[in-house]
Amino acid sequence: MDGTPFRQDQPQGQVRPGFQVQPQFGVTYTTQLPPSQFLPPPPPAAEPMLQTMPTSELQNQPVSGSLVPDMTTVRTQMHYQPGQQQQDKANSQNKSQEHSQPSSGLTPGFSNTPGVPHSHSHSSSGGTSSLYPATPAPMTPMTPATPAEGSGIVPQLQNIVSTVNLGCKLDLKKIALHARNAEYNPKRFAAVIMRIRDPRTTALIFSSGKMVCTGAKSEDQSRLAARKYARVVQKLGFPCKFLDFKIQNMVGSCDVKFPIRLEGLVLTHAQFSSYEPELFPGLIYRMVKPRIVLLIFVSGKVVLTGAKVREEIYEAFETIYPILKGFRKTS
Amino acid sequence: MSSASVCTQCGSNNIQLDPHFCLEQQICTDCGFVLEEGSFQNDPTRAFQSQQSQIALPLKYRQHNNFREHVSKARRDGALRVEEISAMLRVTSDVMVEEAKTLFTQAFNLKVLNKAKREKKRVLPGCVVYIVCRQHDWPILLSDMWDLLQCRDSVFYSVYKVILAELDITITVPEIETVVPSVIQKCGFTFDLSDEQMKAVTQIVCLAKNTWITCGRRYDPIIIASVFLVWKAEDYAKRKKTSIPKFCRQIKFGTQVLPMVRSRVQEFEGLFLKLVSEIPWVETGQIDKKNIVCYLSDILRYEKTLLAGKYGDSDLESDDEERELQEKILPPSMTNRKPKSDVRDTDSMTSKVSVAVSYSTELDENDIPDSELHKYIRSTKEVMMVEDAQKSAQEYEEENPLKRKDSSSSRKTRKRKISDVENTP
Repeated sequence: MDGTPFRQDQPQGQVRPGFQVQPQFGVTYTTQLPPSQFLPPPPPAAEPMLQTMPTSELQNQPVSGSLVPDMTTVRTQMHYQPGQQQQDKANSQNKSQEHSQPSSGLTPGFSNTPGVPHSHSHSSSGGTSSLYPATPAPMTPMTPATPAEGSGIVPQLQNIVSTVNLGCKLDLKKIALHARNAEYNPKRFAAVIMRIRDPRTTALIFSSGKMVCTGAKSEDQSRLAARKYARVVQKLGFPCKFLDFKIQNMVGSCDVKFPIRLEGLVLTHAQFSSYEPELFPGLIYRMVKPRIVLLIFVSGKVVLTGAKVREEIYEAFETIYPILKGFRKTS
Repeated sequence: MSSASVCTQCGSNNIQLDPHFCLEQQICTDCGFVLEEGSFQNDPTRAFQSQQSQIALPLKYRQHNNFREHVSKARRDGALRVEEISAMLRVTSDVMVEEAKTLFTQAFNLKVLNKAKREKKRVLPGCVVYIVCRQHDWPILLSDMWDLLQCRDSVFYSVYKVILAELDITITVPEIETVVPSVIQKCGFTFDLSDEQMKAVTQIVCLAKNTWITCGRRYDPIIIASVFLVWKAEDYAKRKKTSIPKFCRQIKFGTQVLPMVRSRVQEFEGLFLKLVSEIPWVETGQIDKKNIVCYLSDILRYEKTLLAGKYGDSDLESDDEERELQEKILPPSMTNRKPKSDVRDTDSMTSKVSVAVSYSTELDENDIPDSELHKYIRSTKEVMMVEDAQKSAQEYEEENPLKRKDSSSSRKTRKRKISDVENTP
């Protein structure tokens, strides 16, 4: 799934409230798209991809935020289903807002960018119908803007760590006895280790009712997996709920496709970099804004971690890419 | 105690203060008359005052113990250790030793290290000496320090990073060519290297630096591999059958670095094969990795010209990417790409499919279908079988009590539970 700038499994609806991205960041999204001549024409009809909210509520939600990620790449890789036209119509309002955004070139440095407000915590409290999906909807495909100086590379999410409170005390022995795919060894670790196959994830379930879910590749997959684990525990006889789901960490990786001189990078960015080849072959770059840790390797592979939302990973990579390009040649 | 200027007995001006044991007295030196003696209560020279007590500590006690500048035993021992390590590293400069002691005092007073484990506090003098040596551009490596201190690399590095961060110090890694003599001396080869051989080893190391081989790698295996190639090239007829493990056995830590030395030698041989193809008078048909060392002198003599032919536009976005990877000089990690055979790759397709997820706090049947749910919950029969197995295991343990091996339970006294319920799908 290379080159896809956003998730496939986003719930349909409006842009996340308070999700206001700077024009430079918005342009970054558009520049990550492949050229338009590679894009297939839009399908005639498609079903709603997600059914997280009733359609009436989707239409009533205000459109906030200035960024609407471009859908052209999604069009090439999404599996369209009938009913998509409804979502296209719902999002058609966003097009006018998107076109009003300046499509100027991306400024390599993000130092002046106030930063993306990361108010993306998934609110799990409240009633069923009043909950607002915290993730943006898949957007209508549109003509890409003039390509600016972007990396053209999109980091792929590899791991998401999330926590949730099941809201009741648990008997770990009973869970380990009645559940398959569960490990419990209190001498080694005071939690049940449970695994499911779809999504392929691992959960640590503690007797206090708290649970940690790891291994998912997207935010919604992490939430889905956590709900599955909670439902399994509920089936075993515990009055479980699904409270305070929160994504704690996101890990992404990408490849810049050229070798990087780590010795040069550590000399020029000494206050952010840590490079000890005796201990670890990669350079550890601690970016201040956004607060992301990057592992940069000589082969051009970059690992980004420490993000609470995926936009932080994208922003961090777009910040580091021009720096890495400076250390591309040997001389 | 007010000081009197004239003796009331004889009228002499020779008045002296005599610390008579722990009490000061004003005495006339001519007649010995005690003019005035100090009082514990009125003594202004108090080194220790508390709001609760007005008793001043005696002068001798204060002078002997020096309360104002009290130095703990740990700090004294650490300062001595700094001197010992400096002596072991043959740091003859007194300035450097004093800098190390000052830095040790600063690091010792850091709150983060104050609460650290004893293991970390033991490596603190070594960290400090290393930092001072690097500040003076000494060709010393981290591995040298943890070999010297006999400590774990992770412990040493954690203390080292704390000192750099808290005291705002920037230390750079030494260049590989500067540490070549010290590494060769550390290895303790059974043979001596001549000046020409040392020069050849340094040239190979510089060539490795220019061709991405040293980037992200430890220095020791690269230098040892260079020495092996130079030693082999010197008398190829006799030494062509000497294997790398046999060569590494003469090194003190040879067995630890053997795998890395072997892979570095292979990378060097691959690099030399690429470069020797540019030499016009060499017939490449009969050259392989075994006899490439015979052309080492030519490769090193015309290194720059040969590299200029291989380095060009390193843009890898051309269509013939595989040919680029094979011909151009790139980091070994880029050329040795193995096909990914991870099982998780099959799950990457599932990430493309839309996911229906609920945001409700209540769990219901839509979260996981019953068909999938039954895969994760045991049937009644299975539960009974597991319980029977647990009971029999418990009875066996009670009949044959075994000594506990895990240290985690050595401190807490807990009842032994049968808790190894490991289930695999």
